[in-house]
Order: sequence, then structure tokens, then C-alpha cells
Amino acid sequence: MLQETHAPLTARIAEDPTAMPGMQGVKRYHKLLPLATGYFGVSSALYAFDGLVVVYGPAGGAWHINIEDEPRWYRGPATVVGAGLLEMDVILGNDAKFIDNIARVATTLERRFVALAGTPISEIIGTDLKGFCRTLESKTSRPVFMVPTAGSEPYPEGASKAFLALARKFMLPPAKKRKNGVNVLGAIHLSTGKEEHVEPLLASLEEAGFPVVSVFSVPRPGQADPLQAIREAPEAEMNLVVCTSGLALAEQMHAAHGIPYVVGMPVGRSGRGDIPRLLRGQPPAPAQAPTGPPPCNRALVIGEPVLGYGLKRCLRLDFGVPEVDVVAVTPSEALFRTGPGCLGTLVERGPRDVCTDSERDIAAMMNDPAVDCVIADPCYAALLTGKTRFIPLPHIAMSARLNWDMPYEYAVDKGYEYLAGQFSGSPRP
Amino acid sequence: MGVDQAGISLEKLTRREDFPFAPLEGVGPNLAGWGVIETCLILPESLCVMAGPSACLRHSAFMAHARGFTDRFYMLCVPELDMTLGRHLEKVEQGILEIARERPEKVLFLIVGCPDYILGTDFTGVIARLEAATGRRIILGAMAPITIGLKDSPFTAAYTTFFDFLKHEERTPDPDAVNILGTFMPLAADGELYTVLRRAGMERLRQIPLCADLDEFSRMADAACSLVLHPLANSLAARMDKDMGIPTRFVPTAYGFAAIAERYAAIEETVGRPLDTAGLEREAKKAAAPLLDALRDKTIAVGCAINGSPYELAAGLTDMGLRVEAIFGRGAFAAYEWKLIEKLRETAPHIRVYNVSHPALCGQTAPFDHIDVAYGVDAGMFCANAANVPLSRYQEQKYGYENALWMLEQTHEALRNPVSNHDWIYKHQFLI
Repeated sequence: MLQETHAPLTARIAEDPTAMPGMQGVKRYHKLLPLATGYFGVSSALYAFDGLVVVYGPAGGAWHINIEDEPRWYRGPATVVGAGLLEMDVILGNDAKFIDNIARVATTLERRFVALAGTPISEIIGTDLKGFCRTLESKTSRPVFMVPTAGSEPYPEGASKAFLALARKFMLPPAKKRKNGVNVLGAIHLSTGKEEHVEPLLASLEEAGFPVVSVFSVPRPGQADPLQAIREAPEAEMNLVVCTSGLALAEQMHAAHGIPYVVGMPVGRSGRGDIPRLLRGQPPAPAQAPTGPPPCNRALVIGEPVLGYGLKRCLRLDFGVPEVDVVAVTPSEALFRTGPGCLGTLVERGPRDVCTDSERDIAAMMNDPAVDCVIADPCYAALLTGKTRFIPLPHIAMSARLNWDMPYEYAVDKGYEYLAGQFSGSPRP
Repeated sequence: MGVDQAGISLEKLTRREDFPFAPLEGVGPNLAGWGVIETCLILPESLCVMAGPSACLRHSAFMAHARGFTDRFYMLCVPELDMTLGRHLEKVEQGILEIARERPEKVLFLIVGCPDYILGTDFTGVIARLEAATGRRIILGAMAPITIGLKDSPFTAAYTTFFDFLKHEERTPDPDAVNILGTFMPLAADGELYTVLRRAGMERLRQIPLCADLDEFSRMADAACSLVLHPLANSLAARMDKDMGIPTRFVPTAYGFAAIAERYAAIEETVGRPLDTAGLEREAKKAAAPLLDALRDKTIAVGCAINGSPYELAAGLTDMGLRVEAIFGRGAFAAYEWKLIEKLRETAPHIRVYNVSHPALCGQTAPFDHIDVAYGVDAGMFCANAANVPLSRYQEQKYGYENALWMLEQTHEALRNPVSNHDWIYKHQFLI
């Protein structure tokens, strides 16, 4: 043993990569892309509000977000821009130059606010983005805020911080309360896809007597000021958290305005009734087991956790699938620690549910012979080695524009129809 | 911020400083080719491993994945804190060892990002140990947009590293061998350039994408000369010239008849043998005439996403009697492009040059609604009513007079059966 510990590292690891005690292996990707990270989430959360999102790093960061991760960029106005830091800027500082540049673009483009998002470079060199904000506000006479991101944190964290910053800057104390009014929190495109995929949920809320006050992260239709609904959000009586990026905001709004919240993305027919019941402080109604054989015996759902648990519920209650496991690819632990403001949740952890974005671990679970159906972003299909039934459900944080236009649904009845169509159309293994 | 801020007339574009740079950029459809992964994988028997924060990996990998370059490409995620503390070196070393155990490739490119570049992380020891442990060549490269305009672009630097596999080769100079450098999609062996060179007795023509293995690639050391078709290969060719005595000539892809004739004259001088191209030129002009007639009433825009220089294409089209109104470019100009700009200032001073990456240009299509044909997917984004002709380096590659004809034939195809710019970008993955 002593001899082994003195052997060169490479020799020992060449024999057995796990030989080094305490050495966590580095996360490796081959067939999958790494998921979108923090400042991608910031962009996703703020894109639709007519601000200028400055990704404070080299030009490549913003550029790649625009052409790959943000399909709304196509033929749209400049919204996500890169500061364009170069080597000498990093070495010499040059902060004043960039503050000037940002101020000029923000004012000439007449943006309503400026948001500065941190990157690996700004993190490493310790850029004082908070200080930038103060200077920029005085130069532009516009609200300016920073979102403390780097380049490795999960994207919901970036979006969450952006929402909190939006709330701090724009939310107003409620002039009135809107009876049964609901804010939908966490509906960022990286998690929920195109706005049209969330529309069935919003419609079902309205039909159930819960008017939608605001949606984080898109303006309400018919409002000239894209930030109006954000300002008025505290007028709602309840919050609905549909993805993890909305959870911290829900907790903050409970602390600040006493607004309680529920957690869940209603998927399928059973989902339609779940959220109104939770919003009324009632538990979800027990569903009748469907007749007929289930389309599969053990399903694996991979993706954003709140949606993942909504899918799990739908598969079990609408389709009678006896076993459903969820792989949450972004942090989910906070969902299981219900805060004082939480009225109810559709998120229910199962014994085999895990939280991981490791390609190796996910591949192992997908290829477990006991799993006969996988529901995930199409990119994950590359990990399958057998003939497991695969139902594609894009996760934009994984495949971005590659599957942006793919037809799919998940919310309420449309989600049921989509899954039913997939089950009847896709081959059994 | 109007679109005028993003443009300047050719008449007034007399030096680089006149170009309409923006205070903040990085929003337009073109960042001028940052496909480091794909560049590295041109080398046969190679593997590419990128190590860095997840954001950087995703940025660099997305298009490689979109185009299917996944088999020989791996990513190792390293958090910023580990990088700042230097804790990541062992982890990267371990990760690469694991990959090397699973893969047979002889060369491994280790690509790092801006953070390691700016931290000055020293991978020398890691590379030495890995080479000793794996018996493979490990080459370090950087995907670092933080160096834009200051050093060779990352993909130029990556291409230049191929020299490491040639510099120690025993040279057996072969007077009938020519290297063709700078192609991504290779020129076809039955294409015009091959035919012209073979007729002149140059029997052994080598392109890196067509080398089956490193042995075949190493035979490029025997060439009598190198012909460079794309600027990214200039540095590699210069090294081969300086250190191995293989003369080089920059003869970039051209679309205009005059420029093509100049290229062949330069090639003739470099290979030292007469080239029989007069007949090709005659036939091409004859075939082009009806194609050009049908375009004389069209207004045209040219973008820098094309394979080649937008100024050369604009000059070529103008010489053909067509009306170019707009060029979408970036603020980097090759020396030969200034001569073209000077010529265009005389023949088409009305042309307006736009900064494709300017925020004022984003979302602006109305000013370009009158454009009928847009070359390049970047020009196609702004010219919403135009037939979009990508001329992308990811399409089949032509050289010489056949390239001029191909461009005109592609134009007519786009007019007959248009593919939307959106589809060129999002379905065919022609952006970058």
C-alpha cells in the first residue's frame, strides 16, 4: 500500500482511475452537451422584457447564446450582447471603457434596463459588477442590476437570481389584491420551451377561476410596458412555481408580501385538476386508475425536475404506468424542503429518483434492462444501446435550437394527447 | 440607433479605422469561424478533448454536435474555482487518461478556454506525463475569443499545430507533389484544380481532409510546394516554407473570372509549370453568359459567411455586370482585400458596407427588402425577401472557373427553389 501511494499518479490512475483516494473524477461529456449554465439562465429569464443583457466576458459567450441557445434572437433586436473583453482588457482593467460602451449601447437602443451577467472571466478576475451598476445607472438614467453568475452553476440558478433582481428593481407594493390572481414563476424558455407550450397551463388556470397576473419570464399580452406585470406581481394572491428557477422568488414574495405558493407543472388530464386544488389549499384529488394495460412498465423521465415530476404523475395516473423514476438534471433538493409559504406540491420523490447530469450515470440508468420507456430530450437518445421505447420531449437547456420547433406538448390535456400519441405511435421494445 | 450607424459607403472606407465598429458586438450572425473542434479533427487519427467551465464547453461544442462531429470529441467540465486554485490539472490528467484507455487515436488535442489562457495555466507537466503514460501525442490548443485580433485565431492556431507532425519528417522532395491547404470539405479529385495540376504533371496532390492516416499526412513533407486556399492555413504553410523549404502561395477561393485567372497565374508560377486553363476560362464564360443575363436586373448583397472573401465576390459580380448594393463584413481585412476594395471604390462606390455584428443591425430587415439575392447566411438574415445562396464551406467545394459557374448555378437554384435563410441556419447548420 505504501509503495502504491508513492507510485506516480499517472501510473496508478492508468491502472485504475478511481485509485486516488478522495479524487472526484472530472465530469465528462461525449455524446451529450453540457447543459446551459448560469448566465444562459439570466438571458432566458430576462430576454423578453426589453432590456439589454450584457454577458460580461469575451464576445463569444453572448454570440453563442444568440445563435444557439436563444432562438428568439433570429431577426430580433439586439438583446443579449457581449462586453467583448480582450486579453489586454483583462490585464489592464479598462473598466471605464466598458462602462462607457454599455452605457452608449443601452441609451441609443433605448432599453428599459441593463442587466450585467457574470462569466468565468469576470469571476476569475473579480470584476466589480455591482460597482459597474451604480456608475451605469447614473450614466444611463435607467435601472441597472447585476446577476452574480460565473460559468459552471446550473442555469436555473442564474435565472433564479435574475428573477430576484427583477423583483428587487421593479416590483411595487400592491395597490390592491386581485382575487385568486396567480403569478406563474419559472417559465423560462430553457425549461419550458416556446411560450405556446405554457399557454394550455395559463388557459386552464383562467378557466378554473385563477386569473394570471404575471408570468416569469414573459410579458402579459396587451400590455405596452413589458414590465407592467412584473411591477404588479405582488397584487396576486398566490404563486405557482412551474420550474425550480421560480422557487426562490416564490419564497421571497412570501417573505415580502405574504403570498403563498404551490409547486408543480400540471401534465396530462390528471394535472388539469391538480393545480386549482392546490391553489385552494386542497390536496390533489385521488385519480381513478385507468383501465387497460399500461403502455410500459417502468418509465424513466429525464429533464427539469418540476416538469419531470409532473410527467411522473401523469404517467402513473393517466396511463397507469406502475413505476416511474425521475432523473432531475438540474438541482432539485430545494423542491423537497417545502418552505413556510408552500401550500402544496406535486413534486413527490420516489425511491429511485436521482439528481444528476452525469452522462455516464444517465446512460447506465437508461440502459437498465428493467426500463422499457424513456422520456427525455432527443439528444439523450444517443445514449441508448438497446431498443427501449424513447419518447422525445425537448429540454431546451440541452438541445437549444436543435429541437426548438419540434412539435410536442406537456401541459394539461395537450400533454396527455401528446404522450398518448407517442405511446400509440412509437414501437414497444 | 439606426441601421446607418452600422454601415459606411465603400467610397469612405479607406482604412480599417473607418469601419463602423460598435461599442458592443457579438450579436450578429457571424463571428468569423471559431470551429476549433472541427479544425482539430481534420487531422487524421486525432481526438479532441476540451477542458473548462461548462459554459465554455457548451459554446465550443454546440456546432460540432449539431454537425455530427461527436465521435472523436470529449469534454471535461472544470469549475472556475478549481481552475483558479490549479486543482484541475490532476483532474484533467485523470480524465484524459481514461479517454486514452478507451480510444485508439494517436493524437490527442487538449483544448482549453479563456480562463486557462488568462490564468496562464501551465500544462507542460501534464502533457509530458500523459505522453509518457499513453504513448500518444498530446497537443495543447486554446479556444480563446479573448485573443480576437491580437493573435492567430484559435482555429488558425489549431491548424498550425499540424506542423508538429511534419517538422521531423525525413524529406524526400517530390517535384510532382503539391499540398492543397485550407479546405474543410475537400476539393473533389475529379474537380478542376486537380485536373489542371495533373495535366501539368503534378501527380500527387494532397489535402489534409483526404489523408487516410498520419502516415499519408506526413508525406505532405515531400511536396514541391503548397497552395493555400483559405487564410487559416497561411501560418502552417509559412512554417513549412521557413522550416522545411516548401514554398507556398496564397491563392484563396475566388468567384470572379479575373481573380480566378490571377490565381492560376500565381499557381503556374509556384509550381513552375505551364497550366492549361485558357480553354476552361473560355468555356466557363460561355456557360456563364445566359446565367448572368437572367441576373442583370437583380440587386445583390454579399455576406462574410461565404467561403471566400465577400469583397472578392462583390468585385467578381460587379465585373460580371451585376449590381451589388451591400456587403456585410467584419472589421478584419486581409491585405489582398484592400486592393479589391480600392477597385470597387472605382467601379461600385455606391456599395454600402455593414458591420454584421453591430447591435444597430439586429432585427433590421426593412432597409434590405429590395435585395433580390443574398450570398451568405449572414446576409440572408437581413435580406428577408432575397433568395439566399449560402456558398458555405460546409457545401461541396469547388475551385477555379468551375467555382464561378457553381456560384451562378447555386444562385439560379435558389431563385427557382428557395430555401429559407432560417432553414439554412437551423436545419442545414450553415452558420459559422
